[in-house]
Amino acid sequence: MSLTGTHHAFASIDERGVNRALQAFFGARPHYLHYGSVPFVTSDSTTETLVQTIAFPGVPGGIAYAIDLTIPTTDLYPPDGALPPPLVLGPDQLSLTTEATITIGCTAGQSADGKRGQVMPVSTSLDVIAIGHPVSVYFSPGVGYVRFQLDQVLVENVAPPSLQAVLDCLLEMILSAVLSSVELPFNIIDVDFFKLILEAGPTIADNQIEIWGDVS
Amino acid sequence: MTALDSRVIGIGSCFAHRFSSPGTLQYSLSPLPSALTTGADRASSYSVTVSADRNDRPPRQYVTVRQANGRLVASPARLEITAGDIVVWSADRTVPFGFRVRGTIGSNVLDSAALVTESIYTHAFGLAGSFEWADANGSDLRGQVTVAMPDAAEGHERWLARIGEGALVHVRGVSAEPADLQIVVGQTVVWAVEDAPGVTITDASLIGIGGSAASAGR
Amino acid sequence: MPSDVVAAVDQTAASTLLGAAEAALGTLTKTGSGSLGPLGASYSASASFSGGTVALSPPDTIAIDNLQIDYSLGLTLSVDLSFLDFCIPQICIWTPFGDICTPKICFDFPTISVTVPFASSATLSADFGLKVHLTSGDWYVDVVIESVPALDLGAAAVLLLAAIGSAISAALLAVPFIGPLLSIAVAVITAAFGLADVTGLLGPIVSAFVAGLTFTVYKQPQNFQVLPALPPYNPAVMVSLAAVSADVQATDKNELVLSVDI
Repeated sequence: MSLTGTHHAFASIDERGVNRALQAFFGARPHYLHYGSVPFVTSDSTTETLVQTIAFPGVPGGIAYAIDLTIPTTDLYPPDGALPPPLVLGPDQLSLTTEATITIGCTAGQSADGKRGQVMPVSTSLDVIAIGHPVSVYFSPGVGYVRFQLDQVLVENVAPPSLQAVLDCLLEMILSAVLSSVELPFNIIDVDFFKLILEAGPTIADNQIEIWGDVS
Repeated sequence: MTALDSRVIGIGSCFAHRFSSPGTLQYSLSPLPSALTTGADRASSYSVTVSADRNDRPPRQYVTVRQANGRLVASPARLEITAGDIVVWSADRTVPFGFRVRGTIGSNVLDSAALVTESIYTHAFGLAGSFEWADANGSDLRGQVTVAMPDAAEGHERWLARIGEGALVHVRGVSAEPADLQIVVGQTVVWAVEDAPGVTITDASLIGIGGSAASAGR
Repeated sequence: MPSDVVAAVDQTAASTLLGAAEAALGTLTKTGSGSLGPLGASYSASASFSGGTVALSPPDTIAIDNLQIDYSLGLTLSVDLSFLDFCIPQICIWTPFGDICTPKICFDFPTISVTVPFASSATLSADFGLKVHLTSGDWYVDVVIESVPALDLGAAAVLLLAAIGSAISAALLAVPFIGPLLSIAVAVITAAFGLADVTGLLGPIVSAFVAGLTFTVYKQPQNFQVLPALPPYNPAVMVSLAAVSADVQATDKNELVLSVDI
């Protein structure tokens, strides 16, 4: 069976290629993985993104916090191994795993070591697994990209279930927001071999993202 | 190949004059038609001495003008002739553009750029076409020479014979006879000027009068 | 191990890519010299390529049929006219002032340069091979002609021969005193060379454009930009194209396949 099938052009990027592309993307633009309010982050830069503190009555300046993610690793269908229930990786889906570190600035009075009046960081790291699927955005021949839309997120090893539900939702919102900035342009999928007129895909099969079309 | 212009005598053209009376012509040569003035005559380098005695001299004598060390040189520089003889000036291949002869004999001016009487201008036509000619000095003198390609059927030998035949135009005053002349490429036309007010034989296109229609230049 | 990125085109799309490569090649130019019979000849020539139908053949052959080469030629011939040297004899003619005889005038005919502009086209069919190389930091996939085919230049040679004859006649017309000798000159000059000589001159000129003919169907820097910089906080995203290969694969369709590791 030909690669192009009923079309004239075909391009694919495999799992290793996607992961290398993500490493390149987040390596160049790490601010998409590191978010924090003062005092954790003082200004926007290439390495971190400044966010507002969480306003709360009686907490001067609001609740300081930071979210740090590791570079996500993808697994394209078919899965390399079993996923924790209830996650199931189906055709045209990919899984993403990352470690999310959540830090809050604990003001003295709430801290464990009894110090008053100081902001002490308190962190926890969570393993996060998400299931998603690729979506294409096509503008013109050779101009367009593939991005990822999350279908389900699971934070492993959290109890009680109600806390897990809260964290699942929180991390799903955060990961969706992060992934909304991640684009795999056509030119990395076809390494600019041609200007693709997208006709089919992206699909995920055989551990690769595949697209079909014609050339201009 | 020089243009049809008696103001500049080049390869394929000649200036000639019949010296009817004894005397000595002192003359100069110039590469430009306008360069010689009466003042320059005083520095004339060349002469033609006309005597009444024949002394076995031939009735036609020749002066060859050449270019040497950037100057025009007449050879022979001094010529002795008998009254009634014709002197013919012509250029050799060293002369890049042409020359003008101007001088005085007694009270008369002899000027190849202002033909008066007993003066002759010859020109060999190298290209086919229709050549209207006129006087660059402003008189009403004019005419036309039509140069045709020879008939190929006549053959090369016939053409060589034809170019050995000259064609005469007799200029009296400001009239030319014949005014229209037909020749073939390679033939020479001879203008014999008599009783004229100092005229030139010049391609009309050079002086902005009408035009010549040469099939490929002149 | 499979490559990270695979891009493939079938014969239809390969023709499109080849057309773009032909256009990108632009106009090639060459200068040189040769001879046309006894005449010296120098030339400046240019050529461009277009069209052709593509047939992909595994493992690495691209056959192109009816590729059109449009060429133009500025030919300069050196013609020695000294064989025409002659003299106008002394002429003697009566004038009212007496007989006048002019001196004999001899003419040496020069060597003239005759410029012949000419343009035509030819078609060729040939096999091309794939050549992948990394040169000066760029990856190339070139389609390189494997052997120079015989070019049919017969009709063009006939036209060029006529053009040369016309140009020589026109150039001779401007030579003073050539007039009655023109037909002799043209006959002698054009008899000095024939169609075989013209073909012998034209063939190597056009073939020189075909020898080593190379179309680049892929060229990208090894340090490959995925996303451009987006100031102020988003530098360009780059990956390295570590390895590139290309071949023709046959299944139910023959396809040109580019495989890249990043």
